[in-house]
Amino acid sequence: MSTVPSVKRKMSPRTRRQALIGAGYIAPSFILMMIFNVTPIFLSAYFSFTKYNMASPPVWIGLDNYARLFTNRVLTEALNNTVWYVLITVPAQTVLSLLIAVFIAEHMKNRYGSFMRSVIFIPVIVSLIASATVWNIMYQPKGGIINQFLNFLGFESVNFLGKKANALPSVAAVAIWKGTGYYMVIYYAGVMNVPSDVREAAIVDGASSIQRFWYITLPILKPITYMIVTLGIIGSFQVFDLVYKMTGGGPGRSTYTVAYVIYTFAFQDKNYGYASAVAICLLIVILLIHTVQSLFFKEKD
Amino acid sequence: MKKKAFSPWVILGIVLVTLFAVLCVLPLIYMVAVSFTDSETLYIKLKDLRPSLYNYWYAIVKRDFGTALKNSIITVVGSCLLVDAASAMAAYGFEKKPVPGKEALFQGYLATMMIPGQVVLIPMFVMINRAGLTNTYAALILPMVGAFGIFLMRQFMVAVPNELLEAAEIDGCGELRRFVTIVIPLVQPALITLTIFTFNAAWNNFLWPLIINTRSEMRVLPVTMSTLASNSTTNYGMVMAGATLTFLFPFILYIFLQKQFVEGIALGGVKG
Amino acid sequence: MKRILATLLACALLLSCMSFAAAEDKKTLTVWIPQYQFGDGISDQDFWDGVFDPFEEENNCEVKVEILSWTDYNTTIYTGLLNNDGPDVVYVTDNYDLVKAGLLLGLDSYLTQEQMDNYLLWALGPVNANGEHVIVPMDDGVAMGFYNKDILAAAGIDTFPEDWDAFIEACKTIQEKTGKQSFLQNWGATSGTSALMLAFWPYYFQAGGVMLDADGNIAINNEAGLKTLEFLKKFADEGIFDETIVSEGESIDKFAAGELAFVVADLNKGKTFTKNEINWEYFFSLKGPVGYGARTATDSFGVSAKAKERGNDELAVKALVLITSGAVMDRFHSEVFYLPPFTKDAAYTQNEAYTALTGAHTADIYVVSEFEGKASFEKELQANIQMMFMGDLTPQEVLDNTMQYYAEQIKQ
Repeated sequence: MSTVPSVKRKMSPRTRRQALIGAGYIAPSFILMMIFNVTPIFLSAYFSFTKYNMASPPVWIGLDNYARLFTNRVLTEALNNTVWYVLITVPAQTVLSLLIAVFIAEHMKNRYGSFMRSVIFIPVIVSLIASATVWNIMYQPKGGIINQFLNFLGFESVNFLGKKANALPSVAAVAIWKGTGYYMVIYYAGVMNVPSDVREAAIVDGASSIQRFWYITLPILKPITYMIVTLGIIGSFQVFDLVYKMTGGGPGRSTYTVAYVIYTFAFQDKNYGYASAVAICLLIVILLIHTVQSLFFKEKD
Repeated sequence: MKKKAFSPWVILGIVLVTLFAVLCVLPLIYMVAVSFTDSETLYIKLKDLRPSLYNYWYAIVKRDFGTALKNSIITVVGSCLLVDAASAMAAYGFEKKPVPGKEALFQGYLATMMIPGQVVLIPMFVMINRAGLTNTYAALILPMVGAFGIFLMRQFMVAVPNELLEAAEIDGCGELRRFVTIVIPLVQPALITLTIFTFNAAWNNFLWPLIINTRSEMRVLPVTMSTLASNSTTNYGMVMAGATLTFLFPFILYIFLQKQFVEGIALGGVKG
Repeated sequence: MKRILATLLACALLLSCMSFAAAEDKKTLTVWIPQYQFGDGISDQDFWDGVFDPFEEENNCEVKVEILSWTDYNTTIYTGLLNNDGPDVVYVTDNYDLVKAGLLLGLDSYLTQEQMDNYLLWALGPVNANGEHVIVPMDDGVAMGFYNKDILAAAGIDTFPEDWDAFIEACKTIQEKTGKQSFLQNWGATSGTSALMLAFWPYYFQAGGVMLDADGNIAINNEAGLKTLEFLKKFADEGIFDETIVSEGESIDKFAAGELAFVVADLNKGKTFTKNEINWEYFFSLKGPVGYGARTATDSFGVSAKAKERGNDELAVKALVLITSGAVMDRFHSEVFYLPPFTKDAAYTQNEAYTALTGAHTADIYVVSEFEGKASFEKELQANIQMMFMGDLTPQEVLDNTMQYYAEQIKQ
């Protein structure tokens, strides 16, 4: 709203020139964003009301695709799995990264600590496909290094990816392995931002480390935690590469996720309209998560 | 000052952190170790390890990893240059120029950051295909420009003093020269951060290149990696050599630019 | 930082120059063929590159052969053929959707009558809206069963147990008495097509199943479907299947190592088994409630409809003819993968056992039909069968769920 008066106000020639130059600076990214970020949303919304197999033109079918969303067993299973996946990965990687970051900041502020931080960060830079490939080989039921180790300890081999109960947690473990370092770095920066006099005051007050963590560090890190949880939920909601490469959705449909079914519906079943409807719903869910989070965030602040 | 805390709990903590760090790199050490064996079983004994680059040679020459590496490098460099240039320019326009309606547009940009990739995948495939841009670098590079980079750069653009720009203008320094010689050096740390983010995103991009660049001479590393892994399910040495190659470039970059990597993410995270 | 950026930039420029330098105005032909070599023979790539070397010279063009993975092969070629810049000549597995979407070039006007007559199964191939044939069908042959006579003898079984119930009993006996595994198929695989080809359709045929209803739609929700699934479920319930097996190769390796009593594999594997001193024998198929049944399929070669827009159509058909010629296929079948001939001019030695067995069972060989959305249907069916093995679904639910998903999601 604040911009409306400035449009109506008569611009001086200099300002107009500056505005034009400014528009010139904005234009390249604007054009690209319009093409690759904005237009596709509208096209996607349009496709979601059609039957479309890409080979022949889309046929308008109204709300048919949306009506069928609620009765689709495969989609329900995928949603269910995705929620489980989020419930496994997000708390695990958040808590792990928080504890490690705070511990290193409190007790390992030396070269060893910074070396540990560098090492824990390394999985972040491994591509998901390479991670999936390496872990797949490590998870092999016969002869995989993890099972070799379990056998060495005297345990039975575990079929990590081939058993329904294990498959999803095994995929999630790779995500946690890869994600913890990333969030740890953000948390660490947050802890370092805690004014040192606050902490020193607490130390003088004789607060134990657990008390300091609970009553001082944690509340200060709250905004970062909200952000990390939101990022984590949104990221995990879209898990694709790991599932595609590690299990292909199997065994059965035990690792079908929302992103994976969108791919399946579209590129395998050639049902691009229906897949678009699912994608639009995914967008709505993510917007909802965001809204709820920001409302929550504002309230607490 | 209290005694330097070496309570048993702290020692336990240090051990646990160390253990976690070991768990983080163990899979990668294993990956490199297997890439140097030619055994097709997973029971790797020390005697199977040999300093032979056969698996690497085979992956690069026979399995198109050389081509994929070239494509990945071109894509990544192109993406970084484009994203850096477009984002810095846009951020400068948004922050320093009196463009009408810019704040509303900026809010709109921020909203696009929440769009999941799967939503735009199908229409983008249709559009790129219609435009005849499949199997080109442009198809991989152009969509990399996004709101995140502009947002990040704008955070830093605020700190560029207006007085400096005005003084330069009075000295007769042209518009473009001011941008290149004054603004860019001042926001350089942010550009490095953005480069790292873009590098990571472009290097690891999988689903989009998988469906849009179908010809083998246009495939990027993760796609070639994926094909290799499903085509040779039992030749673990070669598959691991491929994975190592995929990992190598970001890793080298990480070693040299470690500080920027970590600071960049912390910054992008804390501010974003 | 600047220096690093500058170096990277220089590298990129150099590389892009290199790639541009390679481009000339020669015509380029792209050929997509899936991987067939799973052993240690000549690689698919080397084989086809060798085939096309003289062709490239003769026609002053460049032929790029790309060997694709079987994983999601159908999805890959559908997307590839939609792509303006996709392949010119393709190996086709499930052709129905490609033909229906008009993605394949009508071949009739490009081929002489003599050339068409040379293809044994030409008439079986589907036609497009203009009534033109769009693919060259090939004979996929029948996958044979192998059994290890020593293991059977050690378990006290002297004749091959061909009846369903007898087979399961024999498997149990073998596992009890020898401690070895009895029969494995790749039910752990994630790609539906490959597993179902060998591990579902043959049993369905043995139970008297017919794939398509009177209108040409897939229909497996019948008594034969139910019997087949109940039979398969026994393999899981009796601890015969091993869910860790995700590819055919693994069970074949086990058989070759003398650790497995029965296996289904392509005929060429007999040589490997003999080399490993396995005392083996072929079997044609099991015998179900209705009789014997083995499957064959008509995979094929075709040309992309877009090759015409690119002006590559003549050349692409020429390449297609070369690929499918008797001379090239003879070499392929002996050097890479054994299949029966599919042209009249093929002149190579038949495998005697194969000829004898298929000759005695001509009526028991069923062709796996083509229908809309076949690859998706098979992936869905396989996922549901895996869920049945895990105890989540009953055989009837597998049939109901698969058919419901097919009706709602796949059939357009």
